[in-house]
Amino acid sequence: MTLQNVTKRFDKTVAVDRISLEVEEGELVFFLGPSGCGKTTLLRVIAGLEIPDTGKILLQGNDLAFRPARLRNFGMVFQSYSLFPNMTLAQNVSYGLECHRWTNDAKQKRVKELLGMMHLEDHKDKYPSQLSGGQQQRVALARALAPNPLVLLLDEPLSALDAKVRAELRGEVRDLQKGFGITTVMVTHDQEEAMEMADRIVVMNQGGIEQVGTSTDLYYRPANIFVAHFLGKMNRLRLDRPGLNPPTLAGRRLCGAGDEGRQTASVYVRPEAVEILKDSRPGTNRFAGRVIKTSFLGNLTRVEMEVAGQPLAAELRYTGASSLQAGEEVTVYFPPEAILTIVDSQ
Amino acid sequence: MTSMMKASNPATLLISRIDDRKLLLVFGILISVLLVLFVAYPLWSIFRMSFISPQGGWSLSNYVLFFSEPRLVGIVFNTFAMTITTTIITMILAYLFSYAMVHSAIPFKRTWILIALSPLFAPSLIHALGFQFLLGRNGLLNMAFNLGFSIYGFWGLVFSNTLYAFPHAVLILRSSLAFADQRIYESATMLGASGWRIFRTVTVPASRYGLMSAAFIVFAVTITDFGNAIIIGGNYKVLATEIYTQVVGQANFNLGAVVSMVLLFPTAIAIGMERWITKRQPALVTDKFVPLRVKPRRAFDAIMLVCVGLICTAIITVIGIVIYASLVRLWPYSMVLTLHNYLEPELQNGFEPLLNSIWMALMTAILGVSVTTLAAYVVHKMSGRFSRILYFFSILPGAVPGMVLGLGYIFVFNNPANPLVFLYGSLLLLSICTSYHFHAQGFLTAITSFKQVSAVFDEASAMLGGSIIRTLRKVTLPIIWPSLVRSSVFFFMQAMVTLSAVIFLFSPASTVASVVVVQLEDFGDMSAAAAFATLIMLSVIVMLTTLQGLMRLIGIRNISLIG
Repeated sequence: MTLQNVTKRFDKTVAVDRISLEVEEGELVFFLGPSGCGKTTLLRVIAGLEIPDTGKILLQGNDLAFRPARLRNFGMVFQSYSLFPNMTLAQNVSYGLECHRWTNDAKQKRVKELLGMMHLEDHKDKYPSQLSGGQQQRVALARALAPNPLVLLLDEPLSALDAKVRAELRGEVRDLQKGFGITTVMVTHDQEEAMEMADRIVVMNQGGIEQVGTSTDLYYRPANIFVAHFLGKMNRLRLDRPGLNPPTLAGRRLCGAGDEGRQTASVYVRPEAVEILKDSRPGTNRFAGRVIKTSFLGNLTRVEMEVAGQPLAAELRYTGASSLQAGEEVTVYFPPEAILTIVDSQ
Repeated sequence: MTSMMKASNPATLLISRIDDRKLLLVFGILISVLLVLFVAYPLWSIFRMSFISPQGGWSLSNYVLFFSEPRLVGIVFNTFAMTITTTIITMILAYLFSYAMVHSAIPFKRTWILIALSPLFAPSLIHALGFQFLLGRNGLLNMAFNLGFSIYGFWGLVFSNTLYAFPHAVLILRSSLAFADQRIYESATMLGASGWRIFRTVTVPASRYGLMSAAFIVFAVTITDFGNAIIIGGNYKVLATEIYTQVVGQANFNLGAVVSMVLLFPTAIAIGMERWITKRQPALVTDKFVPLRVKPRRAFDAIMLVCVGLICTAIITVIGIVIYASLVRLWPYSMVLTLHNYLEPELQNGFEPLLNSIWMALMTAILGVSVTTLAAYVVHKMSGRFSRILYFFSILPGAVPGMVLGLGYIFVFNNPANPLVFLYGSLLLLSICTSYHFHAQGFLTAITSFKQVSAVFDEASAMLGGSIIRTLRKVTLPIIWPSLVRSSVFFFMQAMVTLSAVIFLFSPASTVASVVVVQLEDFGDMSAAAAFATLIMLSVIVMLTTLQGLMRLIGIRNISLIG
């Protein structure tokens, strides 16, 4: 499926701004971004629930941009439970099959097959209100998949569920998607969800695409500051002078930064990459700092410090970290490979 | 996963089905034609007629005539004096009653409410009849205590209309008071506020939208009422009766149209204000809402019980005396109890008018729900200017007095040049007129139901390949049908009791029961009039109970048919 220059305006605001994108057959692509970034609108344009102002949506060579939703044969799962409350689970799942005029036998077989796959066969004569949220979303998924859609669209399907069910369903959705081999687009604002499940992630902001790539691409090689901050936590270190080669921090050389001689004013380092050393001997990329606050978070300890006159956070896994006291002098170490240089127009 | 091979072909779907947007447009055009024919055109005809001089040609002469005639200006003054007095009294009583229902711990609340709403089952004129039987020339109290007091005129109208408008106000006030949030009352008490202070600073401000909107509704209901005015108004003329006098009495259609315009104006403003206030009202219930728990307070509850008891006694007495009067031989000459008025009525057409009423009301129940639901669906699904215009014309009839709409129908359908002239004088036209007279209420109910059915269902159905017809048939209607049943009950009830919309339109063959009550009262056959009024009430109640029973029988409970 290929999107070309898709734009959607609501009155004056541009919700989706000239987006072009290619989704491979059988791929699971995520639209990730803060609320209001246009990810849901883009999904709805693909679904046919919104008509784009410009652009093409190509699937197997046909442009679908102006074809009504019901003639596209795309499956969709909505954020809120969208099961028809007046129908049983089996009726819900077979609804799409009736719309596509399947024969009775084929219908029954298909409903059985899908409910079986979702482990909901025992509940087939129940009504949606008798099910838990997680079960309802499973049925919604079964209903969307039943008529063999060409593309599956998922609009934050897990966000209304509680944390435990959500984690469970992530795996299930992923397995089903791979099992059916169906091209899938899923929208989320939960970066963890996207990183865990996606083949590729499209990071969106203000109607445009910031970066497209795999989880590791985005995490270790963010194309810009927005992506760097949106996926995981990030420290920013202002250099002494922009464009100085070699770059320095607090008067000392910072290895790893600006290797390509780029004209940057700041470099970035993830909190979990920052090390706190016991010995205070000077060395490469070692800087003196002072602890401001520590927070014990269970699996890790977050230490907030002041280094070279700037705030810096570190996340440490070893247990001794929580014994650090506010005001304590420490030495921090930045591994050169963890220093990120991001050239950004902003 | 063999069935995966059976990928359906979107192309076959494309040709095998009608385009949804075209279908919606066809519905939209159908609804527009009906609204133009049965709402806009009749209103335009009245407007036009009021500006056509008797010699022909456009002029202001009818208006000049109206406002230079002291008698007619006096009628305008009378109308406002009576309506405003009624509104004030009704609002005080209805607020007191609703406050007692929500904030006191008095027993039998359901019974009190049922009594308070019972006037809705009867034509408005039943109150005028009741007061006449109590305090009229030959009224029970007048005869017993020789009061020499005449109920006819201003106070008779005010009393009758107060009872008539009371349930309308209670319905609005009770629901606006019922959204009292327990937490606000608790914090007010914690801050040391006294009961009276809480009432002044919390209760009244919280219900101000309800208060205003109820006041405008009471105003509109009272100013447009014809039944009470014709029976108990005596020489105290109001606009609603004056339209009738001009048109039926003097065949002066131009002046009748002017009086209609004069009546339409304040009514439309009141209803417009009510809509405006309702729209501005913030959402009453948030998801964190904690309903009020009332604690018994002895003295307060006792006072409230007395007030509620008195109000309900008044309502029951006035309706009860009508039933009693229907059971005597011939009020006031022969007061023997008998079923004579029911078993051997000395009437021209027997009980045919009652059957006409029931038949007309059943037609209205179906017709009213169909046109309002379809209109609401089109407005709900479409956007843009066309949809807004349809919305306006759909709620416009709510601001039009029944007398005015009825007169408009005369102008349109009693015109030999109109191909629909065959409708004139038929029960079907009475039914159409009633359906459109109450179009706004049915339409607003339907559009609220459509809005409550999450838009996600529509989208989910479209994604699965469902057309709008299938979505409507399989998803939307099965979800909202209880509210449609309620709406059809509303149309049925209104059609049974309506008088103002049909008083101009009936023919000898299509006389309905409410008209017969007026005719019998006019002849002085009070007991027969009372019997007919009672029969109307009885038919409504029987129909409601039957329907409720039927729904129980097929296993549907928890659906209240009224309100």
